[in-house]
Amino acid sequence: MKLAGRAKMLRVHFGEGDNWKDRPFYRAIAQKCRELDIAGATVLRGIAGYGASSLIHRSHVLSFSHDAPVMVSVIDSEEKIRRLLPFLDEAVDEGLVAMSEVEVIKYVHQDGIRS
Amino acid sequence: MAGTGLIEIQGTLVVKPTEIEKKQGTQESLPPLKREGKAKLMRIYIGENDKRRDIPLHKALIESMRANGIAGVTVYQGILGYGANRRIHRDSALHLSHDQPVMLSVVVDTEEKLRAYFPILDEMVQQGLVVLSDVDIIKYTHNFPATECGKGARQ
Repeated sequence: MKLAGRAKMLRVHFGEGDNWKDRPFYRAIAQKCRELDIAGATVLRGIAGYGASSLIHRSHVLSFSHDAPVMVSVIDSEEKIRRLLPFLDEAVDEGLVAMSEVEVIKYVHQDGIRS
Repeated sequence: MAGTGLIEIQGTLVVKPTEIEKKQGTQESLPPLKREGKAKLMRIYIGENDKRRDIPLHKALIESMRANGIAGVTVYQGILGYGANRRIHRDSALHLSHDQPVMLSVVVDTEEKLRAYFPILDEMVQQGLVVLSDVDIIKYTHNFPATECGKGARQ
């Protein structure tokens, strides 16, 4: 896969406890990205945050609450990113999806590892 | 509140905000932002297991950036991801695998400084993704005295 020059970065913010069809939403997004042949997706967990619902999301070790804020960052060409939007439209009912411009400097993988 | 730190702003298009909350009471205006100028933000996506000369690549990158006078780096550990090699990086407690995705967010004052650093970066990152975007810096303070070692690094 090649990725170079101008690209788009899509970031989806939601809670770790959010589910989509009985599994974590972040896992569903990553899988959907793979299905759509998108160059990559990274899921990052925040330690505190609040969003549209103004609830403070925090990960409490003692209370076993798992609603830390989660952000998925996806970078690819605009055309590929747009393929993901119908899924997000359907799946995100609480959260934020934002897109911005980026310039790809490098996108490499080691030959042989690729499966 | 933040004595030392950095706030960056990036031109972002909101694709989908929440739909659940009521729309009332959102009329209050945003607090004024204090703009301090433009900068570049670089994000590097690698794996936690990636190594360079037997030390973790993210540590090697931080050291080399410090040595090259790059303003600031933050390393984030991801919980799940896949990239160029299509392998899913995941935190799996049972397997004690530690090949989670790692993201480095690097803020540089000038593009020239960053471009000068690219050859080193190019040599170090053998596998991963590096992207660059424009940001506006809102606040940037460093609390070390001008005579100390930091001065050399920041020139």
